[in-house]
Amino acid sequence: MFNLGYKRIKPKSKQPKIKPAKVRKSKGKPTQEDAAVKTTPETAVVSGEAKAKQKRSLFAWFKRKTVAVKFRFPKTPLFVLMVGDDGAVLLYIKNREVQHRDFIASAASEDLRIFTERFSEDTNAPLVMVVDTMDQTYLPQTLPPVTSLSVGKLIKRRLEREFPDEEIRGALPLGRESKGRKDWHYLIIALEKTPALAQWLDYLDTLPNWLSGIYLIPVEMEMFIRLLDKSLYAGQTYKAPEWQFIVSYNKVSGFRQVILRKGRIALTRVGQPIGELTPEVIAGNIEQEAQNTMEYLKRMGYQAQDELHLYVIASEAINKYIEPERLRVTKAHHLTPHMVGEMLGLAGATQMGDQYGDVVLATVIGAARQHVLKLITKSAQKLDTLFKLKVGQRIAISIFTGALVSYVGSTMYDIKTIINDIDSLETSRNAKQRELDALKAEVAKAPEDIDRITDMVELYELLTKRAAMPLPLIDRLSRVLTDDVRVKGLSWEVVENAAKSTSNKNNNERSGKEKEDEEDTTVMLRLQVQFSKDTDEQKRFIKMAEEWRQKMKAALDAKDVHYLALPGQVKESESFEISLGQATGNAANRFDGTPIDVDVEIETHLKLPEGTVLIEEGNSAGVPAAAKPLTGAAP
Amino acid sequence: MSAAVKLQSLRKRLIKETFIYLGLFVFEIGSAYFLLTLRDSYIEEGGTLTGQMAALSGQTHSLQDQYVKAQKSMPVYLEISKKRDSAGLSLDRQKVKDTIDKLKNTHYMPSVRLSVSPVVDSKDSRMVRKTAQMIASEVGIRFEAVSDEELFAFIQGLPRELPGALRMTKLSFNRTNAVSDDLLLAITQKGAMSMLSGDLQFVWMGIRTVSVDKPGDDRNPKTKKGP
Repeated sequence: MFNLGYKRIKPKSKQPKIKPAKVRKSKGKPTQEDAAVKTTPETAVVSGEAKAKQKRSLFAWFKRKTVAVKFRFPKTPLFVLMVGDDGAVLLYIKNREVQHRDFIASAASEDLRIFTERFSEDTNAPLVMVVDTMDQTYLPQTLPPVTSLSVGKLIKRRLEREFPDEEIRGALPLGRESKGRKDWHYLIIALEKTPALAQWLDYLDTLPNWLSGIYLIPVEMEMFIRLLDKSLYAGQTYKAPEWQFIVSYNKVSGFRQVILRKGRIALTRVGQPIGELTPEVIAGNIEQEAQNTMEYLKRMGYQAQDELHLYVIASEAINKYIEPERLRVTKAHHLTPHMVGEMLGLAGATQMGDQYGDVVLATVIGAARQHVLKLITKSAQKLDTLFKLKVGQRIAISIFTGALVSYVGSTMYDIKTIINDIDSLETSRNAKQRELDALKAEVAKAPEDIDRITDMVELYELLTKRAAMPLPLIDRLSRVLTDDVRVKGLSWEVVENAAKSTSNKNNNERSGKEKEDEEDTTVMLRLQVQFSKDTDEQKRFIKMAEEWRQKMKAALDAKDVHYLALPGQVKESESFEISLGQATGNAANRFDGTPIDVDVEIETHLKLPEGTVLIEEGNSAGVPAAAKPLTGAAP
Repeated sequence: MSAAVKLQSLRKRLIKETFIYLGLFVFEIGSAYFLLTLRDSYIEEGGTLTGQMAALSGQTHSLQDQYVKAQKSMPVYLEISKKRDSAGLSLDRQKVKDTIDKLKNTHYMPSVRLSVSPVVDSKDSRMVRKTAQMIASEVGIRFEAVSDEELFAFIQGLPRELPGALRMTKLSFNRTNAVSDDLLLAITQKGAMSMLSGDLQFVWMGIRTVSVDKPGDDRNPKTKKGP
């Protein structure tokens, strides 16, 4: 499917099944009203059942709302030159509208300066040539089943073999066999460079405008009829019939007839009016030509019962005298050039009283965005390539510039945002600086350097915390002692870094709590104690010693209190020596009522504020009271 | 105009346009690069400003915290200052000798042997500050006492009489004599007699202030020793 420059309505398969409108058969010659009825899609006859379904269906309602397709003109200005054997028509399309339409009889005539003036109005606009001459050759070709890449070479060879070099040649692919050998089918086409055509091409060479392509009316009719059908059957389900027959009465060529079979070109003829140029005679000529063409069709396999749609583009006066029933076609569309122009939205292309179909065909074919087959002369080919290069270059730089402008815009917006941010940051920084300066000024007013204040206080607190005295512990110890238990010797010792020694952690990993624990220093207190009560019996002594130990532990809040060696107690793992029958002085076996000396080891912690002392000279506040006597050594 | 002339003219125009477009392309690229560089420089400036802001905020908060802390610590500091002015925080080895001599006589200590190490700066990093640091001296006393009561009174008198703080690390003593008639006779004849003997060790701690140069108030920790 080609993109023909019109909007697609809907996929055919999804459209409601509505029977296509049938042409009313009327006796006698059709009237002007009949022609209008036959060609207006909105008034197409729809079966009652289908109509009811259409009404019920919301989907169908949506379908009915679909607007008819309109031809889309190119955005850029364009010249279209339609050349025939009897003259040429020049169109200038600009702003999506046909601005000028001029006709001259030949390239040799004096009137050519009209065209020259027109071309000089816009020397940058490209030129499209639409040809409707008689000297066109169409040869169907069947090519062997080579690959799609190789078929081009075959076609090129065929074209060189069949047509001389001076002819303008081209090939139209018609498809490939789906079964069997899968042969390629092509239609090779040659446009003979007749003196008249050569004159036109030579004239075009003298113009500054660029010839962008040569298009043949019969070939491009495939696209034209498809576009016409889209307009005629807008909003309806329509399937093109196998045969489509279009007759256009053209000023530059005469009666151009084209037969399409299954949407592809099958036959084309051109005829000239014979006799008087009155509408009745011309209508008769058209009917006669059409009948002759139908005879040709029979040779191509057309049968009377086959569906065939006829499209006639001629003046209203001629259409009035054409009787489709004489041609035995399934459906006939009698169209005037102005009706076609209105249907396709060809602004400025037609006028109410237009007699010929040239302008309509030239506008649609010349200004279409996609064509069926493009032909070009060798000299124009180079120009075309250069023009395309130029256009491509412009498009590329436009895209690049557009992208860059967007990027630059975005970057500039970023810069603006960043500058705003910087402004606000500077404002904030200045405010912060002022705040800091004010704070510094306030700090400067302080009676002493704040660093010194904090440093001194911190150090002072640390010193206070580190201070340690044995007296509080000794004081508590003295409260536990009785007359029966006397201290003979005392050793109080701070075990430095006790917490550190018990911790395997890295110093850096220690938490603040752990560092504080380091200050909770361990104190080892060793006493040499003399027991003078219950020393005559081992069992009682042991009991008394144990009670005293527990009492000490509670009173001193000690972690551990134990005897280094208690008389009469020998551990299983220890050896002992004893002299039976005599006093040895060894505490291990002497229970005769004399005092017993025992070594006690007490482990406790130095706790604040017990160890805290104020450090002011001559001030006794905070200094723990002197402990009570322990040893009984006072005189 | 022949086809060849037209072709030549078109080719010339195409080349001319190509050069114009190339110039435009270079100009556009240059403009984009310039803008990109400009944007990057602004981003960098923004980053610098943000860094400065953060530094100023940090400085302000730190100073504010310190100021608040200093304000709270002011009463304690004034008290410390008073002590410092009266040499209550500095260590003088002569002072320890005099003090212990005085306490020895007060508490009838028959014998006291004193050893005092030099006053040195503490090596403990926790005890070093910008404007002050701890100083310490290790003091050892080997003594003989007439009673533990007098010994304890002697120990109690040390922090009261000495400036700074004391961290006692060791105290050990043993009863050397028991109370007996002979001992009492000896005391009557000879005066104070030793009933206890032992050792006392302590770390004598004080604070030394450090003068800090403050050019531009950058809190340079470079110090010089104060008086």
